[in-house]
Amino acid sequence: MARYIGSRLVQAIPVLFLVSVAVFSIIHLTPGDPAYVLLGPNALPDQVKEIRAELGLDRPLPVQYAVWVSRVVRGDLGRSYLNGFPVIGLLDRAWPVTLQVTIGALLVALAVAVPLALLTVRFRRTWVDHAAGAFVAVAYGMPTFWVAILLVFVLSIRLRWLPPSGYVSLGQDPGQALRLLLMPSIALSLGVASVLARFLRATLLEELAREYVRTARAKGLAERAVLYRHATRNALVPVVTVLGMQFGAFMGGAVLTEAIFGLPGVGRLLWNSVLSRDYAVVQAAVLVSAVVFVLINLLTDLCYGLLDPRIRYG
Amino acid sequence: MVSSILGSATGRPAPPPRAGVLGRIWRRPRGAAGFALTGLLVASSLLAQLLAPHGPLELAKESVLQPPSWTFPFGTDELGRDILSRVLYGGRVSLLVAFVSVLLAAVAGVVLGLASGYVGRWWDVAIMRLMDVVLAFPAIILAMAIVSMLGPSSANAMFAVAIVSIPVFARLTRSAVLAEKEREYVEAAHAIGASGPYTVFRTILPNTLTPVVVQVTVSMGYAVLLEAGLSFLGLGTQPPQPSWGAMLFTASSYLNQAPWYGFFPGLFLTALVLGLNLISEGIQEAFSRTA
Repeated sequence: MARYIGSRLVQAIPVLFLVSVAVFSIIHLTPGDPAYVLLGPNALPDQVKEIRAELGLDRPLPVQYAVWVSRVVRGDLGRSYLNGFPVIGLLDRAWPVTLQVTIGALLVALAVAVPLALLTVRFRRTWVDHAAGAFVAVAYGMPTFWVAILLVFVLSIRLRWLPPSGYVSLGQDPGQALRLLLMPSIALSLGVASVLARFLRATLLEELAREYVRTARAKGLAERAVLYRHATRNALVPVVTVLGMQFGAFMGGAVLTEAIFGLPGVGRLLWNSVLSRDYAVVQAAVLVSAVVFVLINLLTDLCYGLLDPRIRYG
Repeated sequence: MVSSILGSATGRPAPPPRAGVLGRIWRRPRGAAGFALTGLLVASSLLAQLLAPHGPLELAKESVLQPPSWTFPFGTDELGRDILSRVLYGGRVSLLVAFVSVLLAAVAGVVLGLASGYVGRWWDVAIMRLMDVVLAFPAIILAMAIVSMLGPSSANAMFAVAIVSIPVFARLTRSAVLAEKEREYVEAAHAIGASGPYTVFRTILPNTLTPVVVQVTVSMGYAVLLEAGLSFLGLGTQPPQPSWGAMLFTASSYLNQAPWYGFFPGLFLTALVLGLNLISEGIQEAFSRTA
């Protein structure tokens, strides 16, 4: 196991290095000198020279990269071009919000997909199976932001059950915070839920065809017990991987969800900084997203290795 | 879904697409539904000029945010423009971006995959690490980063969507090439003195295309959503040009006054993605029965 973890960690290092190079180039591939972006088009040459020296832009690129990486590793992500705030502080405040929506979406996705998959398997080839299949196919095609609009219209404007948008921290007012998180979580979960439901249905059917299921049936277990107690337990193992792979969809979808529901998360921070050309923040938000994504994938692989011994020695 | 695509890539070779394949897909209910739905949407946006009752940019100041009526079947937007006409014209952008970006990505990905799988050694390492880097970013976040560098426009959105769609084609082709390379017909080609490029393009490539064709339809559905997402965020198609994503964004601020505004662009978007996914499922079904 230690060797497996070791080899996966070693594989992740070149990817993280190249990711950092790619993110570093965001500022340098952008047309226009960052100094001009900072100072505006009417900057005087002396000012530009000063700023360039201050930011280290007059040094060779590899040196700039090395300086940048050593700062990033120490948690210094620079300052916002727009308001001069340290970027790390902006991200610190934004991450918990994105994390809450993502966890909310994960829970909703599981709560929708697992019963749906069980239902389709229990009633396979009946109208229940077909109806659920059609629902899943449509849900997969529905863009997050359309779902969000429909939810806001029905649940807050027509029925007035939930507040349409906004954010309150969990510590401040837990009840209101959860009410505000509900619609974003549903909107974000739908795509992943449909992938998950379809996948789980396929693995459940696969498990039901196995020998141990025949044994369980042969010893007279009720079909329900066979399905829920035996097959489901085994079918849930690969779900870990699917959830890990779908994590990118969650992070991407969070941008759109946060934009609609006015949640001050990383996605919204990234969106605002892209629109205002605040490249220091763009760079940092993209870097953090990619690093988190790579680590989640790594973790998923390790979990899978832990759950399924065949992977470790393969 | 993914496992079945990879399965056909790494396992036995599926038959190459020939005439009659379309017929086979058409005979599956999913394939037929997919073709019908997608065909309807493609036709309606191509024929937008004939079908649209108004111009997509035509303003009617006296009828701002009107609910659906006989004159304006889908209602009007905040500037009094006909939403039906804008939805029809907006489909062109979605389709064009999806089509062109996925085509670019497929060509680039297949070439990279062929190089990686056939030439091997450090080419393989370099190309695959590069693909890993693209995959290390959540797709829309990478697309946003690219657009932020190049500036928001539908052409740049197309480019960004193409970049994020390349790795899946490269990986797919690479694994297919690795499986095909060891087969006897490739050895035979070498034995009769065929050159490297000839072997790759004339003998290996045709046998690796089936999973690529399936992936094209899957990727197109994804590209439609990605383009709409970018336009929704104001980073894709720019106003006043109509696009479904941008219409949904504006609609989200008029939910109280005009709830119908966002309904139709979203419906068309969902229908297009659904149609493309059904086609890909139809293709997979048609091939898996014969493989």
